Amino acid sequence: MDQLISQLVLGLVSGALLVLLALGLNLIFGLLEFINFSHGALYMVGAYIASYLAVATGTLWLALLVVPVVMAALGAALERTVIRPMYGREQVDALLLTFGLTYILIEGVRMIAGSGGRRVAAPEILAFQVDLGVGRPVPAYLLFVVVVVGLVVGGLWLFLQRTNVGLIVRAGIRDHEMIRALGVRFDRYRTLVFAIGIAVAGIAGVLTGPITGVYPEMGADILILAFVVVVVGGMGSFWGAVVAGLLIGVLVSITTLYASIYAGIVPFVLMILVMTFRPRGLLGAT
Amino acid sequence: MRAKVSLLAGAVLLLTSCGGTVGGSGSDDGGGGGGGSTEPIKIGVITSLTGAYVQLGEDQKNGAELAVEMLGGKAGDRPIELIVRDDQLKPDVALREAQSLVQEEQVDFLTGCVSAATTLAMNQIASQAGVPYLGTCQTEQLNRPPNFSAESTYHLAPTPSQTTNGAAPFICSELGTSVFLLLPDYAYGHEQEAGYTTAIAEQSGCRVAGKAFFPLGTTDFNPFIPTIEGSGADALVFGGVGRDQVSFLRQAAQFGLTDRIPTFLTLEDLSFDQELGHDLIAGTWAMSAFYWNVDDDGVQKYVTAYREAYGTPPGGYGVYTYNAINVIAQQVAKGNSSPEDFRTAVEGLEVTLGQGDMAIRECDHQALMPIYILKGLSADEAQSRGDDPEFGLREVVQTVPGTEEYAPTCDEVKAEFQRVG
Repeated sequence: MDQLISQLVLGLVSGALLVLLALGLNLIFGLLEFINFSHGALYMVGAYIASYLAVATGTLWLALLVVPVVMAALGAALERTVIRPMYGREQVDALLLTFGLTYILIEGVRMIAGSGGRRVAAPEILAFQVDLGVGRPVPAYLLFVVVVVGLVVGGLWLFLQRTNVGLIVRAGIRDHEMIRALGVRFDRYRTLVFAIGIAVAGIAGVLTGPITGVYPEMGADILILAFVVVVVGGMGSFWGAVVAGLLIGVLVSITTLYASIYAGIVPFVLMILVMTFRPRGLLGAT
Repeated sequence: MRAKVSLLAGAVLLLTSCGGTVGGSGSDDGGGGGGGSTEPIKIGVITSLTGAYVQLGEDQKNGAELAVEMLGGKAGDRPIELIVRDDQLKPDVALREAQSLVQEEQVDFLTGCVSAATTLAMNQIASQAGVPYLGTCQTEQLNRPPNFSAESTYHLAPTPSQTTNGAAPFICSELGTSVFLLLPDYAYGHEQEAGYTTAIAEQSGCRVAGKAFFPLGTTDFNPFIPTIEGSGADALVFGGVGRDQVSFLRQAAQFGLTDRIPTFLTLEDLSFDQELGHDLIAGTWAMSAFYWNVDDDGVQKYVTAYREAYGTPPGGYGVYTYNAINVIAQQVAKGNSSPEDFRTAVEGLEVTLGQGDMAIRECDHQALMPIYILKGLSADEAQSRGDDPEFGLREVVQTVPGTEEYAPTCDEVKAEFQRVG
């Protein structure tokens, strides 16, 4: 039983990072109707910036504040320059564009930082283990990751629910023709949402650094799972992405205990089941 | 909404089929040069210059190019033309590149590989075309039926069973008698499973406490930690390479796992050690068919030249292509450039190259060379040994001789060939 709880806790940690990426993808897809293939590469860029900041300042704290801002700016700049012309065009164009962007970002990082990975140390004060009372002790840093993800998810939710901007974004996700007809300058909100999505991916990148280190292909590995989370959770569904991310993290973790060889396919089996029996996703709108 | 779902699902499929690896295309490196009165000898090198094992692939490219440079660009009177291609660690790309090198470039020899997954693809093309292929990655299958072609297949890296047979006595006597195997879920990992399961059972009082497999390129190893601890094992074997090794050791250290359970890595490479640093590898154990500070003239000749050319000591994979180019060049210089003459000359050949003394046995064209058990050092330990702390991350604690005792014997190999026909 103890062991099962340990697996469950660690599954939640893995799931939490997926949630961050999936939320950004989901927001962007919801409002911009745009599949951002470069989401993983931008997450990687965030992680690299964090790794350099961490070395320069000796700690990860500053990176946690600076990286989201830098990534938001980068996201806004990308949206205004290369992504905006894609609106209203074939989805394939947008896919190709962001796919190309992915290559450029990965090769760019390779040229600057080399093909190998970089280490990122967890903050010193989190270098201890926490006894949860059940299961085995968990490194404090992993719990910290869950807390930060919780704060980001909560913050995003409040932003979408309680602010006027959030109201317009939500309305835009539902029907952007109508929003436009009401005289809202919709373009600005697209930029904003893209920037927020990329900033959240940047936070995920910062948090991942001390767990796996950073390397140029890190975004490609996790992006697949993030897409699965969006499909399983339901398109445009905020809590769908949260629930599906945590669920996939936990399912993979528990499968690891009993039949590790199948752990890798669990998310895809779940996706097939959801697509077959509930195509709108677990919490997707009808 | 439906259309959106299918679009997203399509995106997932597209991404998955990309294997999660995004990488550049192959690069052509024309080495050597014309101008000589004799025809150039063309050698194709296919290795992974992108993908999870990129450091090993770059090391192989460096090793091959260094060999050509040290030979003065010539094999006897014939200029060496080296063509390097990237297989992106994907069998289909390896197949395509091998085809291109054999058919379009008409190479005389083929070498390179960092993974069992790509080597079989190259070997298949080479055997069909009758071009000698010198495999340079650890695999059990390359020179076994049905892949082995006596006319064209050679294996210059150890087989996983050579390493597992060498490692098991050490693990069981020095680290623990209840061993957990954490292995990558592809050919190399399953070959290790077979090797360790047999070899550990042969050690008295030693057993496999549990095993788990992880997909190549796993980033999240956290779920494996309680699985390992729950098994009651008192020693751990980690069979992953490259990025997997770095991710695992980093996460295991956060849990203090490597302090509590002695950890043995099936495959060490300097490039991973450097990224891990002293604090993560101190107290771990590893195995390698090459280590840069081994006291041997052949090894040191290679290491010195490599450091001069690239600024760091070589990792463990460059030496295989370095040796391959040297073996080919030596035979071409002697006039043994046809596949038949090459085979006759190389069967039973004993040479001293970048791994010291090495023999290529006749029965399966397997190279036999010593293998080393290495101890991970802390920064202080490395300093006190007078090593360059930047590179002196490990020390050799035991040398397993390159004899038949540790590899499958020729009798066993012949029996297998007969069984399969």
